[in-house]
Amino acid sequence: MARKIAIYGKGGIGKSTISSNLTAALSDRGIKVMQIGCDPKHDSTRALIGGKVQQTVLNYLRNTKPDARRLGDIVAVGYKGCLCVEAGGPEPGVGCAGRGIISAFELLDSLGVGTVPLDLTLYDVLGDVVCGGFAVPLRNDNADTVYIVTSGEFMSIYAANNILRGTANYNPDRIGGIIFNSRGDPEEEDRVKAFAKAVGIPIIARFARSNLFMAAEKEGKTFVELYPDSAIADSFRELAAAVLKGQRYAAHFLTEGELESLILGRKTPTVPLAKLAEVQAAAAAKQRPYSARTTAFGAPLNGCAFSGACSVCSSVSGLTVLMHGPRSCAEYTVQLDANCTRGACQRGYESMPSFADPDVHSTDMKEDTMIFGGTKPLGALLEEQIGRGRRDFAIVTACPPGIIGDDVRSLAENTIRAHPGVKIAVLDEDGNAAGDFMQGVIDAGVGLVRTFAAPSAKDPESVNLIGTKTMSSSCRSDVQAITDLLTSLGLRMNCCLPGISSLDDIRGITRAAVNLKINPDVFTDRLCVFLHDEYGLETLAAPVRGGLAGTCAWLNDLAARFDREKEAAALEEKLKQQFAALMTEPRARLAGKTCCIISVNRDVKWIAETAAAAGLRTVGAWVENRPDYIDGLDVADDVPGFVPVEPSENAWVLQEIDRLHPDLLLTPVTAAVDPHIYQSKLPLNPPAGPFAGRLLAEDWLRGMLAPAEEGWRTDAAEL
Amino acid sequence: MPLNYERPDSFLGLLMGLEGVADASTIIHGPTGCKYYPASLAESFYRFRPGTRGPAARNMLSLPPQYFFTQPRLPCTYLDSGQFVQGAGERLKDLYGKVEKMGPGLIGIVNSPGASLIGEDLTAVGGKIPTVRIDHAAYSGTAGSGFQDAVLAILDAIPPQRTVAKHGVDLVGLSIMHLNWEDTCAELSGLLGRCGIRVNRVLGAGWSTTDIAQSADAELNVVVHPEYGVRIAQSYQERFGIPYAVSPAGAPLGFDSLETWIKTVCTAVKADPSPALVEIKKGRKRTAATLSVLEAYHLLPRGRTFSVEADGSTLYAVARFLYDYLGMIPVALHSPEGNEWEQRARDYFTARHIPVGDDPQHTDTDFLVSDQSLVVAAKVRGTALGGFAVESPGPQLVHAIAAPALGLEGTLRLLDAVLNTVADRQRFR
Repeated sequence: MARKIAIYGKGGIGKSTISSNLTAALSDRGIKVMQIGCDPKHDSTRALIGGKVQQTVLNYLRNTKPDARRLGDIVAVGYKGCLCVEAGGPEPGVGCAGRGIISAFELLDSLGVGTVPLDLTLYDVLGDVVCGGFAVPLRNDNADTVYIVTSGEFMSIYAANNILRGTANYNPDRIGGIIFNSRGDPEEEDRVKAFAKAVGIPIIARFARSNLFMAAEKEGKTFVELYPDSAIADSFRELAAAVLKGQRYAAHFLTEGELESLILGRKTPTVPLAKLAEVQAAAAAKQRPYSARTTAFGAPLNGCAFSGACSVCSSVSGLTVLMHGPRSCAEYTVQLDANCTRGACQRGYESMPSFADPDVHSTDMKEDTMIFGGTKPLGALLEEQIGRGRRDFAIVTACPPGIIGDDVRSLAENTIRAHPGVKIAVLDEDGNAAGDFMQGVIDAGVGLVRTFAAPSAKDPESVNLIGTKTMSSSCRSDVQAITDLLTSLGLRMNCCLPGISSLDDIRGITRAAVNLKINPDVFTDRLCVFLHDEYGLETLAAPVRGGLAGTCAWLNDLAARFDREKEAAALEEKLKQQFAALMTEPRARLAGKTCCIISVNRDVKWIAETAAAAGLRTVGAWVENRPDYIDGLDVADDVPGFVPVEPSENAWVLQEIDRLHPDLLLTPVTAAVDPHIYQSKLPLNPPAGPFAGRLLAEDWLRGMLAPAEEGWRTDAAEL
Repeated sequence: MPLNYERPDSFLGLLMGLEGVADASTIIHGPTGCKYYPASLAESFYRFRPGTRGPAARNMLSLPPQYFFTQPRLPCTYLDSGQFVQGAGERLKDLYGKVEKMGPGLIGIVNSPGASLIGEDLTAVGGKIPTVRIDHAAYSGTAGSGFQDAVLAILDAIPPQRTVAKHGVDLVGLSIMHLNWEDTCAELSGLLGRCGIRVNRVLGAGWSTTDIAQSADAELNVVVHPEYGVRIAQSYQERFGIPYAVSPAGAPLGFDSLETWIKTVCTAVKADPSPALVEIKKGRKRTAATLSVLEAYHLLPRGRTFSVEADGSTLYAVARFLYDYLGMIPVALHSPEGNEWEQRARDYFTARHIPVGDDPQHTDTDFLVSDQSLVVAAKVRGTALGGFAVESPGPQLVHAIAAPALGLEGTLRLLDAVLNTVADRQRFR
């Protein structure tokens, strides 16, 4: 079976020289070798092919159509028939070299490199084990033996130790030995010997520093070829013999402290450095100021910021959204818009026109753009859209551009300079690197206002609605209901944020006299803080909440701000009378019935209010204690009788419901309780409007008329 | 300009190819953002699937909070920026162990685009259960290519047993992503069954690990949608000597295309197509009678316009049917997948001097054939009077009545939608 070996070592330590000479020595023995250089500078095999530069695998991948690719195009025949391959890599500073190694291996595999008759494959791999891509040759099916090249310099030994650590992550029993490549320091061999002893790996070859290496390089040949009778050539032949023998050792590695003590002869101080106050302050100033993170560090992120930002941007008419990432990321987001439109149409709500015809474009990142960098295709897409007359953009980044480090901000700045009048909001969410879905929503709101808002004359009777949930199919209908109430007080809606409004409305957001939160969520609060910090816009204390009490609370707050108390009082009285009238029938038919309530949202007042108005007797009520982004709402204080429960207590809650056996269970999800209990669905997002709960009561009424058990359950028992 | 982002791409196609194995579990090694949407699709694409019934099957009160995030399918390792730097091999091992205990017949692991960039090593996990490891999906490709990648990887993980005795046919090129695929499978199986041809299974949709192991026993693989099945069929031919049949008329939708498909299969296995053709003839007569009535009211669809945004083989079959059989005029055609079929349709209409645009979503038309999202969007925009979902997502969440997208029933459903739209929305009534 053909052998596969990997030569690792710190960058610049001489791996390529060692590798190509080893290949030459093996080839002299009639061994059929393929050497694969895994270094973006692609010079590993140059001395084997007469100093020529060959086509790299990654350039070939970029420039050749899949059906035209042939292995022979990227394999050069070198010294005594050895085969030479260079993986190559992106330009320095762009793309992802590690990803390039992965792609190069995959291309070689797909082109049938495994079927080429070989005795040995040699991978010459760049420096330290810096990321998963450069660790690919370490994987079990790629290299059976790993050799480490090191000098006696500390950083070289440090890298050697890291390579041992990396090998230990896979199959540790694959270290072939240490190859000592001297830099000429008389004391370095002692350090390498000490290290070799400490990790239990022998030094299998030593190479002294010699100017003849440089001479061979100038000739475009290996040392073995140019000076076959030299002692150094003998050393390479001995190394070749050792490689063919194939002795292997287990990878042990040292801790950083052990290594420093061994090589530098010092103990690493463990006392933390004193913190400088000014450093601390500068660090704080760099933190993301408007953050949605309410979960503990390390807790799962709910969705991704990319998607949240895109959902907001695609709801803004007049804005062109460029999604920088693979097409699947764009598709997931556009599907949210499409589902929203479909849901609104099917449920009888008003749909969002921009969602039905979103002005969104994706860079459709593919393999090559992830290796070589994605700013060029993004720039091309931007220019294409500018050519179509578009002027106002949001660019949102997915995970891959963040990981490979695409510099989107510089691209945007250059584009703006080249095209006066063009405005670009760069939302570098990098998938979920910025945070979860809600963080993306906040970032989009902040980014769009910062980019597009213009100084405007105040309209003293207008109000911004902050906290639109663009993904809710009732979003527009809720905004309309709130706007109707504003109108009844003689006020106007100015702009919705973060979504729904047109870009022109966002430009004029500072016109408004005040902000009204249209829900009590954290993201709404953060946007209001931002508008106050940067534009001095005040926000009313009471957020919009569904139900009669919630509606009256925000109406009164609003009325006090605009001196409309008299109108608000009349409106409140009218709403109360309407509510009482609407609840007459439910009360007549439900009074005395019992109910239990499970909520996963802390905004439950509107539910409790409706249940009470319907005459229901609540015998158990629980609120799941989970991060639901409600801002500072204490359920126990807001609605007495509700018990906060942890997710781990759900089973107990269900047992309690079975024990209490209410006539009705109000729950957002189906609960595994006695099917004779009628389960009425609660919406996950509380709707706006004073009579929000009345629709729930309609279902309760019907539920009480339904048979205790439906006929289908008999059939289901036979499934 | 045409907008393709509503349509599944290769990453989603790959995930659904793995989820097409009924007793498999698929792990996404990636953020929750890569999980929610495909997990909801994977649930919705099966009419019945073990573990999806009853009050405890799907809700946040009973599902494990970690990894599953209230969805029964496609648990994920919820990577964030920290794991993109440090890797998350331990978390993957933990999740793999949990999924292994659930006892699936196959486990699929798919790196998200981000995880594949950092080179996460999926070979570090594995055990007794056959495991498909996809280090990186093809980015920004077509759903059909991703789907076929998945099926071919499955065949590597569970190699079908070679068998000499061949019997029946397998369908290929039908995925769980296809609208009402179970009903479509039953419909096509029923028609072939009339000709004495037994359908063993669908390669890639609803098959079990037992099916996979036995899938080299068919005498013929019958391609439904070529863009989702030809590579798989070719693999079976190369590895097991099983020939395959592709209809030259595209997907089996519309009377002529369906008849061609039936005849192609019957010719390949030397069966008599007459019984199925008789059934199709009944459908033709029923339709002709309906059209005769509409003619009396001056409500024929002839001369009315249509657009199609669909996979190529479907687009071709639909376009030919609406033009050849009903006399409707195409105004826009677009196929993000299977472009050679779209080109064939264009060539056909160009030869008849009919100008056809390439943006069905923004071209005024009487009738749009696509998926329900695009149909609704076109109606909201006012660019289509009506439409019909021939692809996912469909108009309904569930179906009590079988609603095949293809075959004779699929053709009659399409006809119903067309005729009711054009009859009900006449310009001059």
